[in-house]
Amino acid sequence: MRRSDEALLRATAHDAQAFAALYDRHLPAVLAYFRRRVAEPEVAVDLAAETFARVLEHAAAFDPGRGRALPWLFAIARNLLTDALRERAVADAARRRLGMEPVEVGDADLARAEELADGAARRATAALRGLDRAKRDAVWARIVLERDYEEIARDLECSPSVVRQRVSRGVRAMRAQLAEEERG
Amino acid sequence: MSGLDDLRDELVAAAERRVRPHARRRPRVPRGLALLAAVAVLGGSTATALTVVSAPAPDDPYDPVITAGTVTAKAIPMTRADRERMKRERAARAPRTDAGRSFAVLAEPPGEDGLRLAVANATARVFVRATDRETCVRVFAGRRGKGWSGSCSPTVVARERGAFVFTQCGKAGPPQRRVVAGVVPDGVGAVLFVRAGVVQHRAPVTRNGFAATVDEPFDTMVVGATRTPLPPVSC
Repeated sequence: MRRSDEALLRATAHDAQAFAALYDRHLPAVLAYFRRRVAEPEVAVDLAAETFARVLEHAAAFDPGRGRALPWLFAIARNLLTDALRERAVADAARRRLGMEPVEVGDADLARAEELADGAARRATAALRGLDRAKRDAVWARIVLERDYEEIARDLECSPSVVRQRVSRGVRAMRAQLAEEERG
Repeated sequence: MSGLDDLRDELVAAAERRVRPHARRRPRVPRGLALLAAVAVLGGSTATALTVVSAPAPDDPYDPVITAGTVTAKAIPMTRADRERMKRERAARAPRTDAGRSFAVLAEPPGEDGLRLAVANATARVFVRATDRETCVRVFAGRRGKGWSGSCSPTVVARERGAFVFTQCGKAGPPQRRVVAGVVPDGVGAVLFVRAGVVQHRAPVTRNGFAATVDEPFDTMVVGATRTPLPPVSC
C-alpha cells in the first residue's frame, strides 16, 4: 500500500528507506521546479540535493498539524532557491552537516536529470490542461508564476477568496489525476 | 553508477546514520584534497616555516583536519636566472611528446613567437605554444589587454589536465572571483569548476582554449576525466 508523504516523513526518523521512498517519489518534481527557475541543469541538481538534505535534517520538525508534507518540502526548495539567487551560490551546509560525500555530476547525470524534470513537467502540464479554464488560470498564476492572490484576483476580476478556492480545487484535481496515473 | 545514484546513496546513507548514529561509518575515499601544503612566512625573506599537513579529505575541503606537526625549513632566495635554469632543467627532464597529437589547434600555422590563438572572449585571449617537451599558454587579459601571464607544463601532463593560469584577488568583482584560462586537450567540450563535488561553473572550450570568470567558489577543476584540486581564494 502506498504510504502518504506525511507518513514517510514521520518514518524518516527511524527508517532510512522511508526517506529513500520520499526522495524517489519527489525528486523529478523538485528537479522540474528548479529547472524552470535556473538556467543551468547542474545548478538545479545541486539545489535538489541540498533540498533533500534539508528535508532529512528537519524531518523531525515537520508538524502534520500545520500542513501537508509536499508544500513543506517545496517551501524548503523555494527558500533555498531564494538564497541561491541572492548569494549567487548554492548552499551546501546541510550536506556538510550530514557528512555527505561530494558527488560528481557528469553530463550523463545532467541529461538524466533533464529527463526526469521534463517527465514531471509533462505530467503536471497534462494534468493542468485537464482543468477547466478558470481553475487552470488560477493554478498557473499562483503555483507556477507565484503571484499574490490579490494580484491574481484583480486580473481575473474576482475576489481573492474565489482565487484561493479555484487554486485549491485545481490542485486537488491535479493531485488526484497524477495519483491515478501513478497507480495505473 | 551515475552521480545521481551516488547522490541518492549518500542521502540514504545520511538518513541511515541518523537512524543509527553509532553505526560504523563506511570508509570515506579521499577525493580532491588529499595533501595540503601550507607555507607561512615567519619573517624576513629567507626564513620560511613550511608546514606540510597530510590530511584525509574532510567534509569541508576548506577546513581540513590538521594532523601533522610543523617542520621549519630555510628558503633559498631565487633569482630570475635560477628560475629560468630550473625551468630549463624541468623541461629537459620531461619526455618528448608531440603536443600536436593532443591539441588540434597546434596544426594551424603559428603566429608571432610560435603562438596560436586558441580562444578570445571578453575574459581573455589565450594563446598556445608547444616545444617538443612542453605545452605553454599565454593569457592576455580581456580583448585588448597587453599584459599577460603564462604557464608551461610538460606535454605529458598538459594532455591530461590541460595547461592554465588563474588569477584571483582582483580589485573588481566579488572576493571569490577567479579568472581561469588555458588550453585543454582535444575532445574536452567544457571545463568544469566544482565545489564539494558539485559543478559551480562550466566554461565551454573553443579550439582547445577556454577563458572564464568564475564568481562561485570552487575547489577542483575538471578537465575530461582529470580533476585538479586548487587552493581556495585567499586574499
